[in-house]
Amino acid sequence: MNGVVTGGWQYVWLAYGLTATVFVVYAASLFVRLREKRHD
Amino acid sequence: MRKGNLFVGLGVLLLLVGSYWGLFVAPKERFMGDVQRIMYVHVPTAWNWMIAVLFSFWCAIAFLFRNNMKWDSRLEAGLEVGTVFAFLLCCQGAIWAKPTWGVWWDWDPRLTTTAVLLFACLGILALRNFVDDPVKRAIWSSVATIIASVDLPIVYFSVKWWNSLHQQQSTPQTVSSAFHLPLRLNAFGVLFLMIGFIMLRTRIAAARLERELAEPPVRIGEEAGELA
Repeated sequence: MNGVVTGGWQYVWLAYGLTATVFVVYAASLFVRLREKRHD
Repeated sequence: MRKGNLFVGLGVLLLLVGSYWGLFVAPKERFMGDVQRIMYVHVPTAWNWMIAVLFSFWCAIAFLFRNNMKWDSRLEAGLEVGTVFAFLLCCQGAIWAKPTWGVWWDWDPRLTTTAVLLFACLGILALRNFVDDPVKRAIWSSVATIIASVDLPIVYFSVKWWNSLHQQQSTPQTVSSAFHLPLRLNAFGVLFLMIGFIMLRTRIAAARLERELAEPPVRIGEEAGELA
């Protein structure tokens, strides 16, 4: 134990993957709702 | 091209460049190693979440003073986008906490006050779904948003006021200059994305409001007749 974090790329990919997923899913939900609004 | 789509496109572009830089070009941090690269998405999400909550607070005040329903549509958009960002922020924080603190979650003041605001915003959005009268809905959610926003300065200053497990605010003044470029690129990327999302979501809220206000009120006699 020297206080230095080694490795951890799996956490980095998890954080970036989750961020991308949340943004993509939310953007898609907005575009779908906008399209539904146009058809109303 | 509509402004909302333009902001989303610009945000995605900046996020792609900033994230590439943060993942593959920027050096790793001395103590946290590669795990520190989570900062390039976590910190911009935190800054822009705070801006979304401030925007909602401003819309609530503007609605109560001006009595114009366009502020209610903007409030709904700010609250929803803020809630999505708060959820993402808590998840990113948990992922960063595990390799550095050894736990996914801790009832530290910064984390707790952020979670309180996330659930408060969820509650206000739920309240909006339960109230059918658009005027009552706008007034109640504006008041609730103002009350919930009191938590925002507590979230911001919590790391200064209490001996917190969470580190001090990450700003260009507190992090190495080697980390500035990806942090700034992603900060503007998330900012543009947030602006685009709020603009698109405002259009959805405004359309619903327009439909609700256009619907003729159902008279009790007619309703009873339908039922009979």
